[in-house]
Amino acid sequence: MKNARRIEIGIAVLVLFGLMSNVSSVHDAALTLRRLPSDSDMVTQFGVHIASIRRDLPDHGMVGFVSEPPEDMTVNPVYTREWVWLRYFLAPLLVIPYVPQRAWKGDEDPVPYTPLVIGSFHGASPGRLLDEHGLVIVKDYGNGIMLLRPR
Amino acid sequence: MMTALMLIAALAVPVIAGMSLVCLICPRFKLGITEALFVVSLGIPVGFGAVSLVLFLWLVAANGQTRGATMLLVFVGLLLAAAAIVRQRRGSGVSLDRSTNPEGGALRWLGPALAFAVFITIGVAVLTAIAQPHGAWDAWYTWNRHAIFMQRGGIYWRDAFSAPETGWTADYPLLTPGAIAAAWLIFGRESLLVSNAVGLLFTIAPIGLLVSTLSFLRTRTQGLLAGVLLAFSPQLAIQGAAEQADIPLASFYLGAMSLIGLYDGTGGEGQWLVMSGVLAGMAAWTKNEGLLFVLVLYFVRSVVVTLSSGWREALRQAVRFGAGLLPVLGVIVYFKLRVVQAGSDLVTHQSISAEVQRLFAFGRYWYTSKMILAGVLDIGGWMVTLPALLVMYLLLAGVNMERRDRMPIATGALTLGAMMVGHLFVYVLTPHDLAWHIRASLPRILMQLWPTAILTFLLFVKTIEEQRDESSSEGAHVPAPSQWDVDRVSGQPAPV
Repeated sequence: MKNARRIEIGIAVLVLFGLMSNVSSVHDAALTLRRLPSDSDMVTQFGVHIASIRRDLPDHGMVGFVSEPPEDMTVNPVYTREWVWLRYFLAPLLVIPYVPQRAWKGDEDPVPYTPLVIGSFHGASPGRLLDEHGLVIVKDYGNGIMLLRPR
Repeated sequence: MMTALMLIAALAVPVIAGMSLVCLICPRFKLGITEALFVVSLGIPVGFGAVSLVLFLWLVAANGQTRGATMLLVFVGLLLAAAAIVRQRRGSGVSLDRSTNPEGGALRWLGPALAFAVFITIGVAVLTAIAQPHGAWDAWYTWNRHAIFMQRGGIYWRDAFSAPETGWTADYPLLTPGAIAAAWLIFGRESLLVSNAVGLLFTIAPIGLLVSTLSFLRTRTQGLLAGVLLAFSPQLAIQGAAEQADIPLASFYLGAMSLIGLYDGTGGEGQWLVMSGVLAGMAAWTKNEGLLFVLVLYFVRSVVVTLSSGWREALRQAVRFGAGLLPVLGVIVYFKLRVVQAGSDLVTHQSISAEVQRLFAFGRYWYTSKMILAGVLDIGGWMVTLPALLVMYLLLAGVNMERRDRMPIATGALTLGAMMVGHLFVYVLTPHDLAWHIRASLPRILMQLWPTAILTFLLFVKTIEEQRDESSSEGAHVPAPSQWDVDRVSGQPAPV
């Protein structure tokens, strides 16, 4: 019976540590919930942010996406996050990073042509960036979101 | 009220279909409480896997149109349920539950401890789902997005897998998106409530599966302890609520291994292996890692059986396992060859010379091994190093020396080891930044394997009931509750 008692203590220790590990995870989850700004999460807020441009886009096909560089997820998480959220909210429309046709080099895969481009900007006027990419504004929604097209 | 009813229907159709498939494919057994837990827990992943396969085939045949798909899903669910009821009425077979202990049963406080752990798991999952109703990165990036294409992409549903798709994940298989899209179709519209509920079901399924399987193969205490270990792993609830495919994958790994254990432990009924093959196939239909699992499990099991029982027996088992695996594998091959036009992130943008260079960069092996070891020591997300606690528990309890359990233990341990080696090579060869790739995926990879690791570990450890029996019998051999076999003639259990 001694061995059985030892095993029972072993099981009790496992349960106790498991319980303590979960107290902290419940606390963390509750804390995350309390920290949410304006009663909704960032993804939902982004969905509201782009609601107006959604109405002006086709249901399917392909559109481009442009924002402040660099276009690299490891150094510019905002760019990547917004692109990923646009892909998610606008599906089944494909959203691909916009590359001007003139930037295509012959040895690469051809750049898909996107007649419409979504711009998401956070700083001052994106005029220079639009010039560089050869884009013109079709509609400015006033919240950093713009509908653009190649010149 | 209507929303609640539709939600119940959206979840019930796949779960009933899955439970029916379990009852139809597995050998017939008497439905006690633990068996019912087993059927429901296995029915959840199997059912969602089945509806995703049906929906995928429908979309292929109907060129993306979903009109009629809902009726088909409901019809398939009802048909399977009717067939399962007819089969069950013809005779229910033997009971699988051998967990009654002559020395007083399971630890009395362990049942309430498990109930509390499950309550906490559901609580954390619900809080996490409220905080992030759209799930986490992989949910928006791949799974739920692909579900949208399947549910309302129409003739453009294949665009998610087309060449211009720039995401890396166009070749990811469709079990999770298909399951969510099917539930949306039955619900009548896209709803975060539905995708969160599916995530929650996948989160609790492996707990029930572990508890029931170990109750069958070992003892009730061992089953309850397994459930506590898994339910008290905070990562289970967090990753489950994140709507990523890793927890569903964990259910399929665990299911495939549990059924192999039941084959070894209940007298070698071949249908267990057929069902195990179905589960392995569904693992490959969930994530590309599942393909690695299929290869590893097939190879490991063949070696283990060949060494213990000869190649004829290995071949016999491989054929039965393959009978369950091949239909699902056929769908995966079709998806990869005929639907997907974009390449995998781990294959495209790779040149042979760069891969060879990485293969011989020994610093990458050292770094990856170090990170994997650190991840293993932190497995489950406990506040203490859980593997150290488990080693301590093994020393206290001792090793299970039962001959009957050696095969599933060897299969489980070698499969887990080979999977880790496989993942090590995936990391070494990755075209992505190594540190980033490991950081982004290792905790999820380990969580996929964690329930199977618990199963294998608790098969390997002696149970408290066995210790009691040894003490009370003082040398006389009293059959432990785990030592049983099925008397094929009378259909009644008999001690070995």
